[in-house]
Amino acid sequence: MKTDISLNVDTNGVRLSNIVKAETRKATDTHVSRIIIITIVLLTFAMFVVSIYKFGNAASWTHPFNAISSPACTILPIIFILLICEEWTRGTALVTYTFVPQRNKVILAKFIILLVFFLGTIITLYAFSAIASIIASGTNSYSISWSEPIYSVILLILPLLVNMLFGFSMAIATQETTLALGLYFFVPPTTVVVSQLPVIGPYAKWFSLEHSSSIFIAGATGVTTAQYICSLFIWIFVPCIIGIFRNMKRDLN
Amino acid sequence: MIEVLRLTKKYKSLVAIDDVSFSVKPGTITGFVGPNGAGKSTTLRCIVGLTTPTSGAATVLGSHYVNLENPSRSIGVILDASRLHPGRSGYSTLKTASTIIGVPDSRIEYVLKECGLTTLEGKREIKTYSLGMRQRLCIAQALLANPQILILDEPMNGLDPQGIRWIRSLLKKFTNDGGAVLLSSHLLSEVQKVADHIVMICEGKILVDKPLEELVEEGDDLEAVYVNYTEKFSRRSIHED
Repeated sequence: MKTDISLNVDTNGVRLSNIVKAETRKATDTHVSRIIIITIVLLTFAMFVVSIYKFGNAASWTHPFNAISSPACTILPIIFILLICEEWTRGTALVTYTFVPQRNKVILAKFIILLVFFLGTIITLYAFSAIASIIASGTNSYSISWSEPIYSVILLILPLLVNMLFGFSMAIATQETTLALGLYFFVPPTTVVVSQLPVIGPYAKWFSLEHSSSIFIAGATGVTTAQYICSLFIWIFVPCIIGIFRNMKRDLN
Repeated sequence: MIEVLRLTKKYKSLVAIDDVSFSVKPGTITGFVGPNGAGKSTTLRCIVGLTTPTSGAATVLGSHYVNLENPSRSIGVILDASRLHPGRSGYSTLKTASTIIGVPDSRIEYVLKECGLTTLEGKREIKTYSLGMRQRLCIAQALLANPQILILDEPMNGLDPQGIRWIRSLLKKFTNDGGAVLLSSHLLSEVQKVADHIVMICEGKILVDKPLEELVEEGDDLEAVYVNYTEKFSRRSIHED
Protein backbone atom coordinates (compact mmCIF):
# COMPACT_ATOMS: atom_id res chain seq x y z
CA MET A 1 0.00 0.00 0.00
CA LYS A 2 1.79 3.12 -1.17
CA THR A 3 1.05 6.06 1.03
CA ASP A 4 0.38 9.72 0.57
CA ILE A 5 2.62 10.75 3.43
CA SER A 6 6.37 10.30 3.45
CA LEU A 7 7.44 7.34 5.52
CA ASN A 8 10.73 7.90 7.26
CA VAL A 9 11.38 4.35 8.42
CA ASP A 10 14.43 3.63 10.53
CA THR A 11 16.67 1.57 8.26
CA ASN A 12 18.60 -0.13 11.09
CA GLY A 13 17.59 -3.32 12.85
CA VAL A 14 15.25 -3.25 15.81
CA ARG A 15 17.10 -1.18 18.40
CA LEU A 16 17.24 -2.37 21.99
CA SER A 17 16.34 1.16 23.14
CA ASN A 18 13.15 1.00 21.03
CA ILE A 19 12.21 -2.37 22.53
CA VAL A 20 12.82 -0.96 26.03
CA LYS A 21 10.52 1.99 25.26
CA ALA A 22 7.84 -0.31 23.84
CA GLU A 23 8.06 -2.71 26.80
CA THR A 24 7.86 0.22 29.25
CA ARG A 25 4.64 1.27 27.54
CA LYS A 26 3.33 -2.31 27.77
CA ALA A 27 4.21 -2.45 31.47
CA THR A 28 2.30 0.70 32.31
CA ASP A 29 -0.54 1.24 29.85
CA THR A 30 -3.06 -1.44 30.82
CA HIS A 31 -5.97 -0.88 33.16
CA VAL A 32 -4.52 -3.30 35.75
CA SER A 33 -1.01 -1.84 35.70
CA ARG A 34 -2.40 1.67 36.18
CA ILE A 35 -4.38 0.46 39.23
CA ILE A 36 -1.23 -1.20 40.63
CA ILE A 37 0.86 1.97 40.19
CA ILE A 38 -1.82 4.20 41.75
CA THR A 39 -2.15 1.75 44.68
CA ILE A 40 1.61 1.81 45.29
CA VAL A 41 1.69 5.63 45.18
CA LEU A 42 -1.27 5.97 47.59
CA LEU A 43 0.00 3.34 50.06
CA THR A 44 3.54 4.76 49.98
CA PHE A 45 2.19 8.21 50.72
CA ALA A 46 0.07 6.79 53.56
CA MET A 47 3.14 5.06 55.02
CA PHE A 48 5.08 8.30 54.60
CA VAL A 49 2.51 10.17 56.71
CA VAL A 50 2.30 7.38 59.29
CA SER A 51 6.08 7.17 59.60
CA ILE A 52 6.31 10.87 60.45
CA TYR A 53 4.35 10.13 63.63
CA LYS A 54 5.56 6.60 64.25
CA PHE A 55 9.22 7.54 64.03
CA GLY A 56 8.87 10.57 66.20
CA ASN A 57 12.08 9.82 68.04
CA ALA A 58 14.03 8.44 65.09
CA ALA A 59 17.70 9.16 65.20
CA SER A 60 18.61 8.35 61.60
CA TRP A 61 17.08 9.48 58.32
CA THR A 62 16.99 5.80 57.18
CA HIS A 63 14.72 4.59 59.98
CA PRO A 64 11.38 5.30 58.25
CA PHE A 65 12.66 3.60 55.08
CA ASN A 66 11.40 0.05 55.74
CA ALA A 67 7.86 1.23 56.47
CA ILE A 68 7.73 3.60 53.48
CA SER A 69 9.19 1.03 51.09
CA SER A 70 6.92 -1.88 52.13
CA PRO A 71 4.07 -1.20 49.61
CA ALA A 72 6.48 -0.96 46.64
CA CYS A 73 8.44 -3.92 47.95
CA THR A 74 5.40 -6.19 47.86
CA ILE A 75 3.32 -4.81 44.98
CA LEU A 76 5.78 -3.46 42.38
CA PRO A 77 7.02 -6.93 41.28
CA ILE A 78 3.45 -7.77 40.19
CA ILE A 79 3.82 -5.35 37.26
CA PHE A 80 6.73 -7.42 35.96
CA ILE A 81 4.96 -10.72 36.57
CA LEU A 82 2.09 -9.43 34.41
CA LEU A 83 4.45 -7.96 31.78
CA ILE A 84 6.18 -11.31 31.30
CA CYS A 85 3.34 -13.80 31.83
CA GLU A 86 0.67 -12.00 29.83
CA GLU A 87 2.80 -12.44 26.72
CA TRP A 88 1.89 -16.13 27.02
CA THR A 89 -1.44 -16.19 28.84
CA ARG A 90 -2.91 -13.45 26.62
CA GLY A 91 -0.94 -14.70 23.63
CA THR A 92 0.57 -11.31 22.84
CA ALA A 93 3.95 -13.05 22.42
CA LEU A 94 2.63 -13.93 18.97
CA VAL A 95 2.79 -10.24 18.05
CA THR A 96 5.87 -9.36 20.11
CA TYR A 97 8.04 -12.12 18.63
CA THR A 98 6.79 -11.39 15.12
CA PHE A 99 8.09 -7.84 15.52
CA VAL A 100 11.27 -8.95 17.30
CA PRO A 101 12.22 -12.53 16.36
CA GLN A 102 15.40 -12.20 18.47
CA ARG A 103 13.65 -13.23 21.69
CA ASN A 104 16.74 -12.63 23.82
CA LYS A 105 16.43 -8.90 23.03
CA VAL A 106 12.87 -8.82 24.38
CA ILE A 107 13.86 -10.62 27.60
CA LEU A 108 16.82 -8.26 28.04
CA ALA A 109 14.56 -5.24 27.48
CA LYS A 110 12.16 -6.45 30.19
CA PHE A 111 15.10 -6.89 32.58
CA ILE A 112 16.41 -3.39 31.80
CA ILE A 113 12.97 -1.94 32.60
CA LEU A 114 13.02 -3.81 35.90
CA LEU A 115 16.36 -2.18 36.78
CA VAL A 116 15.13 1.26 35.69
CA PHE A 117 11.96 0.90 37.79
CA PHE A 118 14.03 -0.33 40.71
CA LEU A 119 16.44 2.63 40.55
CA GLY A 120 13.62 5.17 40.16
CA THR A 121 11.69 3.66 43.05
CA ILE A 122 14.66 3.41 45.38
CA ILE A 123 15.71 7.04 44.78
CA THR A 124 12.13 8.15 45.45
CA LEU A 125 11.95 6.05 48.63
CA TYR A 126 15.28 7.41 49.93
CA ALA A 127 13.95 10.93 49.35
CA PHE A 128 10.66 10.14 51.13
CA SER A 129 12.54 8.60 54.05
CA ALA A 130 14.76 11.67 54.40
CA ILE A 131 11.82 14.08 54.13
CA ALA A 132 9.79 12.10 56.70
CA SER A 133 12.78 12.25 59.08
CA ILE A 134 13.21 16.00 58.58
CA ILE A 135 9.51 16.66 59.25
CA ALA A 136 9.49 14.32 62.28
CA SER A 137 12.62 15.95 63.73
CA GLY A 138 11.15 19.44 63.20
CA THR A 139 7.86 18.45 64.85
CA ASN A 140 9.49 16.67 67.78
CA SER A 141 12.54 18.92 68.12
CA TYR A 142 15.40 16.45 67.81
CA SER A 143 18.35 16.32 65.44
CA ILE A 144 18.74 13.64 62.78
CA SER A 145 21.88 11.69 62.14
CA TRP A 146 22.90 11.94 58.46
CA SER A 147 26.03 9.88 59.01
CA GLU A 148 24.55 6.43 58.41
CA PRO A 149 27.25 3.99 57.18
CA ILE A 150 27.05 3.46 53.43
CA TYR A 151 26.84 -0.29 54.05
CA SER A 152 23.55 -0.03 55.95
CA VAL A 153 22.15 2.42 53.36
CA ILE A 154 22.88 -0.10 50.59
CA LEU A 155 21.40 -2.98 52.62
CA LEU A 156 18.09 -1.11 52.66
CA ILE A 157 17.65 -1.59 48.92
CA LEU A 158 18.08 -5.38 49.00
CA PRO A 159 14.49 -6.41 49.96
CA LEU A 160 13.01 -4.44 47.04
CA LEU A 161 15.65 -5.66 44.59
CA VAL A 162 15.31 -9.28 45.73
CA ASN A 163 11.51 -9.19 45.56
CA MET A 164 11.60 -7.71 42.06
CA LEU A 165 14.12 -10.29 40.86
CA PHE A 166 12.16 -13.09 42.56
CA GLY A 167 8.92 -11.99 40.83
CA PHE A 168 10.79 -11.71 37.51
CA SER A 169 12.30 -15.19 37.82
CA MET A 170 9.00 -16.83 38.86
CA ALA A 171 7.27 -15.17 35.91
CA ILE A 172 9.88 -16.06 33.33
CA ALA A 173 10.15 -19.66 34.59
CA THR A 174 6.41 -20.38 34.68
CA GLN A 175 5.09 -18.09 31.88
CA GLU A 176 1.72 -18.41 33.60
CA THR A 177 0.21 -15.45 35.47
CA THR A 178 -1.71 -17.34 38.16
CA LEU A 179 1.12 -19.75 38.90
CA ALA A 180 3.76 -17.00 39.00
CA LEU A 181 1.66 -14.85 41.36
CA GLY A 182 0.98 -17.90 43.53
CA LEU A 183 4.66 -18.76 43.78
CA TYR A 184 5.61 -15.12 44.39
CA PHE A 185 3.29 -14.86 47.38
CA PHE A 186 3.46 -18.42 48.76
CA VAL A 187 7.06 -19.58 48.33
CA PRO A 188 8.58 -17.29 51.02
CA PRO A 189 6.09 -18.19 53.82
CA THR A 190 6.03 -21.85 52.74
CA THR A 191 9.81 -22.14 53.13
CA VAL A 192 9.43 -20.71 56.63
CA VAL A 193 6.78 -23.33 57.50
CA VAL A 194 8.88 -26.15 56.00
CA SER A 195 11.89 -24.96 57.96
CA GLN A 196 9.99 -25.68 61.19
CA LEU A 197 10.51 -29.40 60.54
CA PRO A 198 13.37 -30.57 62.79
CA VAL A 199 15.11 -32.36 59.92
CA ILE A 200 15.12 -29.30 57.70
CA GLY A 201 15.43 -26.55 60.31
CA PRO A 202 19.25 -26.43 60.52
CA TYR A 203 19.55 -25.96 56.76
CA ALA A 204 16.64 -23.52 56.32
CA LYS A 205 18.81 -20.44 56.04
CA TRP A 206 20.45 -21.93 52.94
CA PHE A 207 17.23 -22.09 50.92
CA SER A 208 14.71 -19.80 52.60
CA LEU A 209 14.72 -16.20 51.40
CA GLU A 210 12.83 -15.24 54.55
CA HIS A 211 15.35 -16.86 56.91
CA SER A 212 18.44 -15.74 55.11
CA SER A 213 17.09 -12.20 55.00
CA SER A 214 17.98 -11.97 58.70
CA ILE A 215 21.11 -10.48 57.15
CA PHE A 216 19.15 -7.21 57.09
CA ILE A 217 18.54 -7.32 60.83
CA ALA A 218 21.56 -9.05 62.34
CA GLY A 219 24.16 -7.73 59.93
CA ALA A 220 26.15 -9.71 57.42
CA THR A 221 28.85 -12.21 58.29
CA GLY A 222 30.66 -14.59 55.95
CA VAL A 223 28.18 -17.38 56.69
CA THR A 224 25.00 -15.29 56.47
CA THR A 225 26.16 -13.77 53.19
CA ALA A 226 26.86 -17.25 51.79
CA GLN A 227 23.40 -18.40 52.95
CA TYR A 228 21.79 -15.42 51.31
CA ILE A 229 23.64 -15.97 48.03
CA CYS A 230 22.69 -19.66 48.11
CA SER A 231 18.96 -18.92 48.54
CA LEU A 232 19.15 -16.27 45.80
CA PHE A 233 20.77 -18.86 43.54
CA ILE A 234 17.97 -21.36 44.21
CA TRP A 235 15.02 -18.97 43.89
CA ILE A 236 16.28 -16.39 41.39
CA PHE A 237 19.22 -17.54 39.31
CA VAL A 238 18.11 -21.13 38.55
CA PRO A 239 14.47 -20.29 37.66
CA CYS A 240 15.71 -17.37 35.57
CA ILE A 241 18.02 -19.57 33.50
CA ILE A 242 15.27 -22.21 33.06
CA GLY A 243 12.82 -19.45 32.08
CA ILE A 244 15.13 -17.81 29.54
CA PHE A 245 15.72 -21.21 27.93
CA ARG A 246 11.95 -21.92 27.78
CA ASN A 247 11.24 -18.48 26.31
CA MET A 248 13.86 -18.93 23.62
CA LYS A 249 12.69 -22.41 22.59
CA ARG A 250 8.95 -22.42 23.14
CA ASP A 251 6.81 -22.75 20.00
CA LEU A 252 3.90 -20.36 19.67
CA ASN A 253 0.82 -22.34 18.74
CA MET B 1 9.37 -13.24 -2.11
CA ILE B 2 8.36 -16.15 0.15
CA GLU B 3 9.90 -19.56 -0.44
CA VAL B 4 8.77 -22.58 1.56
CA LEU B 5 10.95 -25.63 0.98
CA ARG B 6 10.12 -29.13 2.25
CA LEU B 7 8.79 -27.82 5.56
CA THR B 8 7.86 -30.49 8.10
CA LYS B 9 6.66 -30.02 11.67
CA LYS B 10 6.05 -32.94 13.99
CA TYR B 11 4.64 -32.86 17.53
CA LYS B 12 5.65 -36.25 18.97
CA SER B 13 3.59 -38.68 16.86
CA LEU B 14 1.46 -35.97 15.21
CA VAL B 15 2.66 -34.66 11.85
CA ALA B 16 1.24 -31.13 11.61
CA ILE B 17 2.78 -30.38 8.21
CA ASP B 18 4.56 -32.82 5.96
CA ASP B 19 7.08 -31.83 3.28
CA VAL B 20 5.30 -28.58 2.39
CA SER B 21 6.78 -26.55 -0.46
CA PHE B 22 5.44 -23.52 -2.35
CA SER B 23 6.40 -19.97 -3.20
CA VAL B 24 4.74 -16.56 -3.26
CA LYS B 25 5.73 -14.22 -6.08
CA PRO B 26 5.73 -10.39 -6.24
CA GLY B 27 2.54 -8.77 -7.47
CA THR B 28 0.39 -11.80 -6.63
CA ILE B 29 -2.08 -12.90 -4.00
CA THR B 30 -1.63 -16.55 -3.06
CA GLY B 31 -4.68 -18.09 -1.41
CA PHE B 32 -3.72 -20.67 1.20
CA VAL B 33 -6.74 -22.86 1.79
CA GLY B 34 -7.58 -26.08 3.58
CA PRO B 35 -9.86 -27.59 6.23
CA ASN B 36 -9.53 -26.88 9.96
CA GLY B 37 -6.39 -28.48 11.36
CA ALA B 38 -4.89 -28.90 7.89
CA GLY B 39 -1.67 -27.13 8.91
CA LYS B 40 -2.22 -23.64 7.49
CA SER B 41 -1.49 -21.74 10.71
CA THR B 42 1.45 -24.00 11.56
CA THR B 43 2.95 -23.28 8.13
CA LEU B 44 2.49 -19.51 8.56
CA ARG B 45 4.05 -19.64 12.04
CA CYS B 46 7.01 -21.60 10.70
CA ILE B 47 7.49 -18.95 8.01
CA VAL B 48 7.66 -16.13 10.58
CA GLY B 49 9.86 -18.06 13.03
CA LEU B 50 7.31 -18.51 15.82
CA THR B 51 7.41 -22.29 15.43
CA THR B 52 10.62 -24.18 14.73
CA PRO B 53 10.17 -26.68 11.89
CA THR B 54 11.35 -30.25 12.41
CA SER B 55 12.94 -30.12 8.97
CA GLY B 56 12.88 -27.94 5.87
CA ALA B 57 13.05 -24.17 5.72
CA ALA B 58 11.16 -21.04 4.80
CA THR B 59 12.73 -17.83 3.56
CA VAL B 60 11.27 -14.38 3.17
CA LEU B 61 13.08 -11.93 0.86
CA GLY B 62 15.90 -14.46 0.67
CA SER B 63 16.49 -14.79 4.43
CA HIS B 64 15.09 -16.77 7.30
CA TYR B 65 12.55 -14.51 9.02
CA VAL B 66 14.44 -14.69 12.34
CA ASN B 67 17.58 -13.39 10.62
CA LEU B 68 15.89 -10.26 9.24
CA GLU B 69 17.09 -7.16 11.11
CA ASN B 70 13.70 -5.48 11.36
CA PRO B 71 11.22 -7.86 9.71
CA SER B 72 8.08 -5.76 10.20
CA ARG B 73 9.61 -3.08 7.96
CA SER B 74 9.17 -5.37 4.96
CA ILE B 75 6.59 -7.94 6.11
CA GLY B 76 3.20 -7.25 7.63
CA VAL B 77 1.82 -10.21 9.57
CA ILE B 78 -1.63 -10.99 10.97
CA LEU B 79 -1.90 -14.34 12.70
CA ASP B 80 -4.67 -14.04 15.28
CA ALA B 81 -6.80 -10.99 16.01
CA SER B 82 -7.75 -12.39 19.42
CA ARG B 83 -4.15 -12.09 20.62
CA LEU B 84 -4.33 -8.32 21.15
CA HIS B 85 -4.18 -7.28 24.81
CA PRO B 86 -7.78 -6.37 25.73
CA GLY B 87 -6.67 -3.88 28.39
CA ARG B 88 -4.75 -1.64 25.95
CA SER B 89 -6.19 0.90 23.57
CA GLY B 90 -5.91 0.48 19.82
CA TYR B 91 -3.70 3.58 19.66
CA SER B 92 -1.39 2.26 22.38
CA THR B 93 -1.09 -1.08 20.57
CA LEU B 94 -0.04 0.72 17.38
CA LYS B 95 2.25 3.07 19.30
CA THR B 96 4.05 0.06 20.83
CA ALA B 97 4.45 -1.46 17.36
CA SER B 98 5.61 1.82 15.77
CA THR B 99 8.19 2.32 18.54
CA ILE B 100 9.68 -1.12 17.89
CA ILE B 101 9.71 -0.79 14.10
CA GLY B 102 10.89 2.82 14.20
CA VAL B 103 8.17 4.60 12.24
CA PRO B 104 6.90 8.11 13.07
CA ASP B 105 3.73 8.63 15.11
CA SER B 106 2.07 10.38 12.15
CA ARG B 107 1.86 6.96 10.55
CA ILE B 108 -0.44 5.68 13.34
CA GLU B 109 -3.19 8.19 12.54
CA TYR B 110 -2.74 7.44 8.85
CA VAL B 111 -3.15 3.64 9.10
CA LEU B 112 -6.02 3.97 11.60
CA LYS B 113 -7.88 6.15 9.10
CA GLU B 114 -6.88 3.93 6.18
CA CYS B 115 -8.33 0.91 8.02
CA GLY B 116 -11.60 2.63 8.86
CA LEU B 117 -11.03 3.32 12.56
CA THR B 118 -11.66 6.80 13.95
CA THR B 119 -9.32 8.57 16.39
CA LEU B 120 -11.95 8.09 19.10
CA GLU B 121 -12.19 4.35 18.41
CA GLY B 122 -8.39 4.19 18.49
CA LYS B 123 -8.41 5.55 22.03
CA ARG B 124 -10.86 2.90 23.30
CA GLU B 125 -9.68 -0.26 25.05
CA ILE B 126 -9.57 -3.26 22.74
CA LYS B 127 -11.93 -5.24 24.97
CA THR B 128 -14.70 -2.92 23.72
CA TYR B 129 -13.92 -3.73 20.06
CA SER B 130 -15.94 -6.06 17.86
CA LEU B 131 -14.06 -8.82 16.04
CA GLY B 132 -14.25 -6.76 12.87
CA MET B 133 -12.64 -3.77 14.60
CA ARG B 134 -9.89 -6.03 15.97
CA GLN B 135 -9.24 -7.29 12.45
CA ARG B 136 -9.01 -3.72 11.18
CA LEU B 137 -6.58 -2.88 13.99
CA CYS B 138 -4.45 -5.92 13.11
CA ILE B 139 -4.41 -4.85 9.48
CA ALA B 140 -3.43 -1.32 10.54
CA GLN B 141 -0.60 -2.83 12.58
CA ALA B 142 0.56 -4.93 9.62
CA LEU B 143 0.57 -1.87 7.34
CA LEU B 144 2.43 0.44 9.77
CA ALA B 145 5.80 0.31 8.00
CA ASN B 146 4.42 0.12 4.46
CA PRO B 147 5.68 -3.46 3.90
CA GLN B 148 6.32 -5.30 0.62
CA ILE B 149 4.77 -8.57 1.83
CA LEU B 150 1.62 -9.39 3.76
CA ILE B 151 1.07 -12.71 5.54
CA LEU B 152 -2.56 -12.84 6.62
CA ASP B 153 -4.30 -15.62 8.56
CA GLU B 154 -8.10 -15.32 8.29
CA PRO B 155 -8.10 -11.50 8.00
CA MET B 156 -11.74 -11.42 6.83
CA ASN B 157 -13.17 -13.14 9.93
CA GLY B 158 -15.67 -10.87 11.61
CA LEU B 159 -15.61 -8.20 8.92
CA ASP B 160 -18.97 -6.90 7.66
CA PRO B 161 -19.69 -6.82 3.89
CA GLN B 162 -18.24 -3.29 3.60
CA GLY B 163 -15.16 -4.46 5.47
CA ILE B 164 -14.69 -7.45 3.17
CA ARG B 165 -15.10 -5.17 0.15
CA TRP B 166 -12.55 -2.79 1.66
CA ILE B 167 -9.95 -5.49 2.32
CA ARG B 168 -10.45 -6.86 -1.18
CA SER B 169 -9.63 -3.49 -2.74
CA LEU B 170 -6.75 -2.99 -0.30
CA LEU B 171 -5.14 -6.29 -1.29
CA LYS B 172 -5.64 -5.60 -5.02
CA LYS B 173 -4.02 -2.18 -4.65
CA PHE B 174 -1.20 -3.70 -2.61
CA THR B 175 -0.34 -6.25 -5.31
CA ASN B 176 -0.79 -3.73 -8.13
CA ASP B 177 1.99 -1.77 -6.42
CA GLY B 178 4.22 -4.87 -6.57
CA GLY B 179 3.53 -6.35 -3.13
CA ALA B 180 3.03 -10.05 -2.43
CA VAL B 181 0.26 -11.50 -0.28
CA LEU B 182 -0.08 -14.91 1.35
CA LEU B 183 -3.72 -15.12 2.35
CA SER B 184 -5.06 -17.96 4.47
CA SER B 185 -8.85 -18.06 4.61
CA HIS B 186 -11.90 -20.31 4.83
CA LEU B 187 -14.00 -17.84 2.85
CA LEU B 188 -13.41 -19.51 -0.50
CA SER B 189 -15.71 -17.21 -2.47
CA GLU B 190 -13.65 -14.26 -1.23
CA VAL B 191 -10.37 -16.01 -1.94
CA GLN B 192 -11.60 -16.67 -5.47
CA LYS B 193 -12.35 -12.96 -5.92
CA VAL B 194 -8.85 -11.80 -4.99
CA ALA B 195 -6.32 -14.63 -5.41
CA ASP B 196 -4.10 -15.22 -8.43
CA HIS B 197 -2.73 -18.51 -7.20
CA ILE B 198 -4.02 -21.24 -4.88
CA VAL B 199 -2.13 -23.50 -2.52
CA MET B 200 -4.41 -26.15 -1.00
CA ILE B 201 -3.33 -28.12 2.06
CA CYS B 202 -5.02 -31.08 3.76
CA GLU B 203 -3.77 -33.13 6.71
CA GLY B 204 -0.42 -31.36 6.46
CA LYS B 205 0.19 -32.19 2.80
CA ILE B 206 0.00 -29.92 -0.22
CA LEU B 207 -2.81 -31.08 -2.53
CA VAL B 208 -2.80 -28.30 -5.08
CA ASP B 209 -0.37 -25.55 -6.10
CA LYS B 210 -1.83 -23.93 -9.22
CA PRO B 211 -2.90 -20.61 -10.71
CA LEU B 212 -6.55 -19.89 -9.81
CA GLU B 213 -7.64 -19.68 -13.45
CA GLU B 214 -6.34 -23.15 -14.17
CA LEU B 215 -7.87 -24.58 -10.99
CA VAL B 216 -11.42 -23.27 -11.44
CA GLU B 217 -11.57 -24.88 -14.87
CA GLU B 218 -11.77 -28.20 -13.00
CA GLY B 219 -15.16 -27.33 -11.46
CA ASP B 220 -17.88 -24.71 -11.11
CA ASP B 221 -15.93 -22.55 -8.71
CA LEU B 222 -13.13 -22.71 -6.12
CA GLU B 223 -15.48 -24.14 -3.49
CA ALA B 224 -16.54 -27.05 -5.73
CA VAL B 225 -12.93 -27.80 -6.65
CA TYR B 226 -11.87 -27.55 -2.99
CA VAL B 227 -14.58 -29.98 -1.82
CA ASN B 228 -13.70 -32.37 -4.64
CA TYR B 229 -9.98 -32.38 -3.81
CA THR B 230 -10.32 -32.62 -0.02
CA GLU B 231 -12.97 -35.38 -0.13
CA LYS B 232 -10.90 -37.37 -2.62
CA PHE B 233 -7.87 -36.97 -0.33
CA SER B 234 -9.82 -37.99 2.79
CA ARG B 235 -11.22 -41.12 1.05
CA ARG B 236 -7.71 -42.05 -0.04
CA SER B 237 -6.38 -41.55 3.52
CA ILE B 238 -9.13 -43.75 5.00
CA HIS B 239 -8.49 -46.40 2.35
CA GLU B 240 -4.73 -46.39 3.08
CA ASP B 241 -5.39 -46.69 6.84
